[in-house]
Amino acid sequence: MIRWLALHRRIRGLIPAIVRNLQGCVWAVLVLAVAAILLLPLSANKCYLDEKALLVGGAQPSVSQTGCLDVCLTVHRQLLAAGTPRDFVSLVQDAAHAAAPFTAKLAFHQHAFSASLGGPLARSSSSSRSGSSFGGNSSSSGDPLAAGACRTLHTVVRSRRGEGSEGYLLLIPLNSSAPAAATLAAAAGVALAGHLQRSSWLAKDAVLLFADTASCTAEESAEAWMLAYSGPQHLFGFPRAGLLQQALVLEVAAAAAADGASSAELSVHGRGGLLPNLDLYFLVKRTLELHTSLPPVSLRAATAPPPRAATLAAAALASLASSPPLRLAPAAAAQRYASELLTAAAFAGQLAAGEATGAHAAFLSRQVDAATLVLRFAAAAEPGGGSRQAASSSVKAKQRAQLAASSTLTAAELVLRTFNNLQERLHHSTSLYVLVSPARFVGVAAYLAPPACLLLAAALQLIEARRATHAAAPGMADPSLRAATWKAAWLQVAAAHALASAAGAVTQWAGFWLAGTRPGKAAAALLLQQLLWPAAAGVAAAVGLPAAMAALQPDSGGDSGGDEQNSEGAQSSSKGSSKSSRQDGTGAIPVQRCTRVAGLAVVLLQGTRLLLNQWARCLALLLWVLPLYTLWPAGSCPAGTRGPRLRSGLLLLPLLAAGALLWRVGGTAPWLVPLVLPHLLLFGSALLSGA
Amino acid sequence: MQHSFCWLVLAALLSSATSTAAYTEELALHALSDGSVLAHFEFSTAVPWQAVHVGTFPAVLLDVVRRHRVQQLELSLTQGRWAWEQQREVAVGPLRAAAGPRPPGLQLKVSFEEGAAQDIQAAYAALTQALGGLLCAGVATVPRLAVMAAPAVGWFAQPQPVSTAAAQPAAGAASHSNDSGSGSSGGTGRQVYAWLAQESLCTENVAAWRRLLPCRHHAGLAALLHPVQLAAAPYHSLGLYLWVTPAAFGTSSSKGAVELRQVLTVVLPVQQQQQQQQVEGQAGLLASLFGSGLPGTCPAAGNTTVYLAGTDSTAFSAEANRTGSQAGIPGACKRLAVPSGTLLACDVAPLTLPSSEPRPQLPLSLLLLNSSGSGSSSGSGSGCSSGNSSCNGGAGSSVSEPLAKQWTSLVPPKVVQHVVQGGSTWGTLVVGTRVWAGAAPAAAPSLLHLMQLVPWQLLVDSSSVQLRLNGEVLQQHSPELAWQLVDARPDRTAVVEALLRLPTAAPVPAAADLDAGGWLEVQLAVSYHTAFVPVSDQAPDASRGVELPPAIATLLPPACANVSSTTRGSGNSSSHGSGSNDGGGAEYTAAAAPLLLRLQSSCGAWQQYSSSGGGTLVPLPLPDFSMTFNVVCFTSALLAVLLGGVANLVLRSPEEFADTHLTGGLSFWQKKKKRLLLFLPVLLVTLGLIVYLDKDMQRWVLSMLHVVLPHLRQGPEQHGEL
Repeated sequence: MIRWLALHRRIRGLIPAIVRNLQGCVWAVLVLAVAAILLLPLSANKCYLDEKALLVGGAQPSVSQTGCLDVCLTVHRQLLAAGTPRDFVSLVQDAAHAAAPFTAKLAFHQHAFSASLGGPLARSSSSSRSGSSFGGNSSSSGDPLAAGACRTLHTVVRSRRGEGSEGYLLLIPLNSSAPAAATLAAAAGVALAGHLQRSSWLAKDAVLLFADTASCTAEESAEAWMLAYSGPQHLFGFPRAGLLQQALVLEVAAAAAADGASSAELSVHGRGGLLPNLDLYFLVKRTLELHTSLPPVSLRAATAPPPRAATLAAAALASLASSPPLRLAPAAAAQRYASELLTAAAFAGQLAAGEATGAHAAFLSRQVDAATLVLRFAAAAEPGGGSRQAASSSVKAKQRAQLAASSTLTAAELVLRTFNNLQERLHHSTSLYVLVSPARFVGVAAYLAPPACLLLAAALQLIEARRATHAAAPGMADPSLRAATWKAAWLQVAAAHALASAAGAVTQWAGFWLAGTRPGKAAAALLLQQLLWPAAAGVAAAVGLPAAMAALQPDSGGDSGGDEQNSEGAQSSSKGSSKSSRQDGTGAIPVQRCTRVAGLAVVLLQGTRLLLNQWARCLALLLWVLPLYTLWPAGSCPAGTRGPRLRSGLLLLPLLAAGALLWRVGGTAPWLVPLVLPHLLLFGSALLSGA
Repeated sequence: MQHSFCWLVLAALLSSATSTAAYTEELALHALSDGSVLAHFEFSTAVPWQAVHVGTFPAVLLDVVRRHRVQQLELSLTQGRWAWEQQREVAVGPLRAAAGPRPPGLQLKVSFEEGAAQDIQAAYAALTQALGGLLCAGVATVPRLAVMAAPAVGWFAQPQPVSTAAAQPAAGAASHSNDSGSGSSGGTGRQVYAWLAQESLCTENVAAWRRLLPCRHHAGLAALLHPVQLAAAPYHSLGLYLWVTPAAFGTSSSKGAVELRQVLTVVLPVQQQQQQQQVEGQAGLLASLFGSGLPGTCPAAGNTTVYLAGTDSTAFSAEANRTGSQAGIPGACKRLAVPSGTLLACDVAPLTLPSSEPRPQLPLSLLLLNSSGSGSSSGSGSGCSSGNSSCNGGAGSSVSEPLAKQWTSLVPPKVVQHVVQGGSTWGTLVVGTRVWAGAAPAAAPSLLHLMQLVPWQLLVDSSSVQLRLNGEVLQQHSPELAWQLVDARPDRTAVVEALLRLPTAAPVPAAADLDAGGWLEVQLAVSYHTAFVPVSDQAPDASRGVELPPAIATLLPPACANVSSTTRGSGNSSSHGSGSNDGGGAEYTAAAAPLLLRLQSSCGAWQQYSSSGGGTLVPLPLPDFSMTFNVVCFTSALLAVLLGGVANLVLRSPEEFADTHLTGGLSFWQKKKKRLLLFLPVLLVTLGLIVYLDKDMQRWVLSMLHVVLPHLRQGPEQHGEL
């Protein structure tokens, strides 16, 4: 107890020392934050599978034993030998016909939509059936769609013993303008469907979706298909597989390398900074590494390659770290560090931009864990010279086709089988990560440290700025004047915050009303909650933070008359100062009472929301809004305080950057935009007018 | 020798007991066009309510029924799903009324006698405990985990007497005719429906279920059931159906008898059937299908019969001629006409007589031949699914005219359940039901009863319930809407029930395509938002989502709605089955064979579950409770930061803020005391919040209060209670 009291006293004694050297602390923390960002790759861990039920590697591929591989090659060969260019529907249908003895009773449903409408349905769906056992209806003939319309074809392979309440999806984009790749992908798709029909391990329904990417992108097709899948239309005609839990986009493309070497690439970025569960990423990667002869899977960290300047800077950093004067690390390690730093920057930048890197984004935005796997083969490349038929018959072409088909089918089968093993959503691992390389990641605990340092620096700088403001304003020495000024200022802030929050919430819900959605009682209650909570949070932020600052800078004074406790530390005046603060600081004590009430409200509401698992949003909102209001201009400040205020304004930039990073990486939805935007506008206008 | 002696003693004992309890064993077989075979076992017995000697009736079960005064009970344990296309094949065949689909998992329907118990909840809990022990199943977890409700109208559609099934929705319509709007309460509360998806059918359940039979697995049709074979089947379901019949006029007791039906329905897979075809020459029908022949009939059984579906006279005669050398087969089988076709009823007792060596066998070709005969009616359904426009020509078989007529009227309804997610916390549940217009002839409207249960985790907005018939919204006073009831209370399973009179439509052409049109489509939509689910009330597999029970649609053709016309069948069925087995070629009276009676008196009622039985998953924005350590640590850390920081702000006065680095003012302990006094209200508010949010804490607090205040009797209710 005595030791604890001594420690407590020492810590309390540190506070004035910190406050006295606050500017130095700010710079120290800022340096620490920058260093933490640069050292992020060093805190990366190797990827691992957290969900053991996936049983990755627990099963061997069986596509060869069941004849699936042979069927795929046969279909591929037949389609190539025919030679005539096909459109999307006839390509799938011909492939199904060619695989007829193996794949029986495949009922393909065609869904048509217009890309110009941004994904929604342009007309109702039609259904068709293909497969040898049915004589093969022609679904493409008489199609009334205009040119440029987009289509998808999907079928559901029902598990024999499953209940049908959940399923998973395999999306195969087909671009008929690249017939070699499309033929290979279509052959693999229909052969895989037959393989799944014969699989005894199928416990959940599997959806096999072909998307026409000649007119629309694969992401548009996936978006439109998911819209139809989750919509109330076509209850009976549209085959469904219950709640989709996982999805894989399997894209077959021509080899990028000049020597025609095969490769595999994974993409995980969704829209708005959404990421799939790390287990899903790694199970695909691990499956490919274990069961295929493909080279190590690469990561698509961003849609655009990193700028040359960044590449040069990374190279310079690596050479500097391994150069003789420093010799911080061996050359290989330094190169790896620089490469990982560059990848992490690209990955985080892609997250911050909120742009997707593949068609899986449509599934991610509907809470379906998904990733895009691009397999590049020489067999998928268009033959340069000679007839396609000749190319298909050559020995080398056969070997290439064998490799491509085997790798594609093995990857698809085993990934789907791991999906099949899991009877729930992926939840053991995390969706908050930054991949620094295809095999290493930085977790949320590590990458939150730099923004936290930035925020701490911002808070300390605010305190320092405020102290400087008061020191430079002789008129503010009067405690009653200060108290009244601060009270007026913070009440103004509270009212502005409530107004802005209300405007944000109404703006957000206006979208629903304009879309014709009837909000109902539940939505009204939610709206009320949204209005009340930010208002309470605003009041708390407005009146609570001055008190916190007063606690941290007792020597330079707070709102409540703390200036009486001057640096001389006259013990004799402590009672008198307390009394005087009660008397002349008339605004301070009510403000503190308001703080208690509002603080309690915040705690209760925040606690409730936390229990509702909205902590990510709350955290982002807190990090956005609360520091924002600490920068609020303190009423009518006298002249001579522009410097500190501008310094505070400059701090807004790292603050915003940190908030943006958290917001994006934290997986929060874009619904925060209308909530945060009014605050930003309000603050910006006030800051500019005050400066 | 010793074994034979035991059997003789057992047979003597059981034959002496048949005066009070009749026992029959029946097996219905239907070969489906995809090569799989539907096998439906039914073991029926009955005992007078006041009987002292229970005979073949399970004594434990009878004791449970008597003690808790159960009026009716239906329990099913199901694994897998029975495809709608296969159901359609069975529906157009003579075994239409034999077996209905059941949802995967555990389904329990109980109806207690009126005025039976003051506390239905307690009686229900005791009953589930007893049933759990009887079947080695997790029935006891039903009151805690299952989706449970007390709907207004019964749904005991099969295999109870037809009249009761038909009368219940009709009676419900009559009793609720003045209540076409939304109601706030359930029915009488005497009947309970529960569904537990997590409880699947396992081998030990089958073993325990067979122990309720008088001969267990040693003899009789139950000896054909092999657990491994059942586990490999795509669909198998076992059930207990029990009801108390009223006493005859003039007797002292109001109850007549307790009837019990133990059923097991299995769809034997295609591969197995194909393999068995290869040994067709060596083994008979039963051995080919089940791996071993019948060791002998159960001595307690008054009747042991196998029904083969789809037998027409031509096929049967041809087969009889072909197998004429096999003595006894023609004599053991008889062709019977039922409303939906003909079937072959074979008494297997002559086939298992120990004196005859070698034993005669039912040839497998009889079933396969029948399937080819009935395949003409169902062949067009082979491989056809919804959305297909080429079903009719798919199998290359023509539809005979009489069976095509059946097709138009015997297509089972198709029910689809779909969740339209509006966000992570709200959405709309849509239930679509398609009824073939041929099932609603112009004479009188059919009744369609829809019931959808919504677990308490999803709060139903009762004002959002919307019914559409062929796309048109049904208002409360629409003539098609007989009544509608919405019981949407917080913390309770919501029940949405509706009874519709399907409009009389023009007769559909016999050869009409099932996918081209001719369907009446009913759509039920209801909005929900997610409730606050405390940790203690999460399901064990919360990460999977909340499982919605399947929607139940009961179609009642006009013949079923006429209760008086079906009461006769009910009376026959409850005549205790005293028919005796008189050897080969016996006369199969309705009294002797309850399954046959039901096949003969079927009015065409059909109970269908959505999506072939499976429920729908609704994801909830739940934290990951399977990783308690991480989640609790992270959440607690956040809460601690919030609580600590804000409490520090709240509890300290401005003077204290100013005095943080000084020791002046109040003494140390005075400050602590003052801070403690300030902290108490916060603590009380926090505790209040905890108790408000946590049901377990409420129960604990009330139990503590009960110790202090003994007059507090009513305990806190569980989530999802009745």
